[in-house]
Amino acid sequence: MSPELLTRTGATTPSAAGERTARGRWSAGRWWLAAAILLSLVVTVRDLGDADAYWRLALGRLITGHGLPGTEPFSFQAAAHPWVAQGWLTDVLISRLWALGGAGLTMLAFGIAGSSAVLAAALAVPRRAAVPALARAAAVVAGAVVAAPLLGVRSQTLGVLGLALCLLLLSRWREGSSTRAVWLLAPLMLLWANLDAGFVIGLVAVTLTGLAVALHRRFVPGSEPGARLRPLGLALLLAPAGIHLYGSLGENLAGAGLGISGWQSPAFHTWPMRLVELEALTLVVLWTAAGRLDPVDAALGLAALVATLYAQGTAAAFTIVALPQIARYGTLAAARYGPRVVEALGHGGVVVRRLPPRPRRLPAVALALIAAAVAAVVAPRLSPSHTAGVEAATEPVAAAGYVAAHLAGDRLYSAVEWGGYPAAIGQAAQQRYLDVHDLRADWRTALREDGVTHAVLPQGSREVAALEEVGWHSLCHDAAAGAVVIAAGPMPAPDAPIPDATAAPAC
Amino acid sequence: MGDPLLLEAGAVESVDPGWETTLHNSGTDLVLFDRSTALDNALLASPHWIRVYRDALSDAFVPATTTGEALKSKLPPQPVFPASSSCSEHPSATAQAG
Repeated sequence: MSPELLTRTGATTPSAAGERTARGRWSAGRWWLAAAILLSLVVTVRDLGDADAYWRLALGRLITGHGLPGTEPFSFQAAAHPWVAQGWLTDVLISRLWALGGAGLTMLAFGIAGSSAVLAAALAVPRRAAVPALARAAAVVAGAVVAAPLLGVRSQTLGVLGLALCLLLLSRWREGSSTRAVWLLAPLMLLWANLDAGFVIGLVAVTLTGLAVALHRRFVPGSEPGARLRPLGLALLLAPAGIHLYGSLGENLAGAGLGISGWQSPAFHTWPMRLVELEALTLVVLWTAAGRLDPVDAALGLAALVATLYAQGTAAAFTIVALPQIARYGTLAAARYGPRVVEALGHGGVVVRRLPPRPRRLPAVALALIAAAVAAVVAPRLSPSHTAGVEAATEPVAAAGYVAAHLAGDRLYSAVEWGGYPAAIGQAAQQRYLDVHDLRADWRTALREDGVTHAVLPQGSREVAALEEVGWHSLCHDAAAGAVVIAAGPMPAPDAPIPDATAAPAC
Repeated sequence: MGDPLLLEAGAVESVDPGWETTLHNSGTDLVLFDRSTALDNALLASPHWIRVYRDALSDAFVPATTTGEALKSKLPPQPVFPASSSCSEHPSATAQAG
C-alpha cells in the first residue's frame, strides 16, 4: 500500500518528482533557507551581556593603537605572566565594528556570523542525501535556537562559523564535487586560528574525517572519492603566538577545574544545556532510526558530544556538528518509518489530493513579511538607548566611573565577570583570584600580600558578605548594575552591627 | 524541611549577604560545620564568632556575645586527639571543601 500523497497541481507527485528541474528545486530550497536564516537572527543577535565582550573591546582598542601586548594589560596579577594572544583578531574586529557603529553594529555583525554558521552547517548536508528544503530550514531554526545562548559578541561565534565552513568544505570534498575545497581549508584554518581558540576543533574534525575516510577506503575499496587532505599545520603556525598557542590552549584545558564555567562539564539544570542535551538525544535516536550511519558522521558527532561533556563551552560546536546530521538522518528516518506510520494511522490507500497552484509571488511576499517582522524585533535591540541600558545593567559603569575618579592607580579586587577572562592571567594568578572568590583558608592573606585595599563587587556576592565581616565598608553603590565599591577598614568590635553595603551613597 | 528553609541554609553555607543575620534570627547558639569551607573560613575571620572546638573535619563556633561566652564556659575544653585518631590533624583525614 502506498502512503497518502499531498501534491500541488502540476508539481510534486512521485512521477513528477524526477521531472523537476534543478533550478526549481534550488529555488524552493533558497526560499525556505532564506526564511530560516532571517528567523534565526531573532535569537543570534544578542545583547552585550557576555563577561568577555568589554574586555575584548578594550583589548582590541589597545592592539589597534599599540600592537599586541606582551602581558595581559588590565590586571596587576598578570604583569609578569607572558600573554598568549588567543583570538586577537576578534578583539580588533570588535573594536573596529564598535568604532564604526557602536554596540548595535557589533551585535548585528556577530548575529549575522552566528546565523551564517547555522546556514553553512545546513549546507554541509551531503547533496546526495536529498534532504527536503523544509527539513533543512527546520534544522537551521532549531540549531540557531540551541546554539544562540552560547553565541553573541564573543570569539566563539566566529569559531562556530569556522567550524561550519570547515564541515561544509569537508562535505563537498567527500562528495567529490570539489577537490579544490580541501585547499580552502588552509586559509580558513589560518584565519580561524587568529580569531578563536576553538580552531583546534576544526583540526580534530579534519583529522577524524581524514582517518574515517582512509579507513573506509581501506576496507571498502572504491567507496570514497576525492583527494588526500593536505597538511594544515604550517598555516596554523602563522598566528602571532605560533607554537605557543597550543601550550596556552593546553594550559586552559588543564585548568578546567579552576572555576571557568566554559571549561567545566555542562550544567544540565540550565535551559541552554537542557536544549543541548535534547539535541544530543535526538541525534542518537535519529542515527538509530535511520538504519544506517556514515562513520564520519558518527566520529564527528561522538567527538563533539564528548567535548561538550568535558567543557560546556564547546556546546555550540556540538550544535553545528549535529545540525546537518539531524537534517540528514531525520530525512532517512522519515523515509523509513513515514509510510508505516501513515499506514498505521489508517491512511494506507492511495489518495492524491490536488491543491490549488501556489501563487508565484507568495514566497517573495512571505519572505518580505518575515524580514519585516524580524526587523521589528531586532532593530530596537540595536538602538543606542537600549544597548546603553543593557551596559549599565550588566556592567558596573557608575562604579567604574567612581574608581577612575577616586582610586586611579590602586590595586582592586574585582569579580571575574567584570575583570576579564581569568585564563589570560595564568594559572597562578587564577588560583590567587579563586582563593578570595571561594573564601579559601588564605583568602585574607592573598588580599593583604597583594596590597589590595579596594574592591568592586556584586552587592550579592559572598566576597562582600565576608569582607564586611572583617571591617570593609562600602564607599558607593551602583544600583543599576547591583555593584558596590568597598574599602578595607579596621576590624570591627564583636558587638558591632553588620553594615548594609547598599546603604552607601550612589557612585 | 521544605524549599524555603533549604534555600536559607544554602545561603548561609554559601556566605551570601545576610548569612549572619539568618544565624542570629534563628537563635543559633552554636555552629558546627565542615572545615575549609567558605562558611568555616568566614566564621574564622569574623570577630563576631569564637571558635570553641576543632578536629580534622569540623570546627565549632559560638557567637562573641555574653550568651555565647556563657555557653563556651559550659563546654568541655578542646580535646587533644592521639595521632592515631581519625579526629587528629593528620592531613589525610582533612575534609574536602563542599
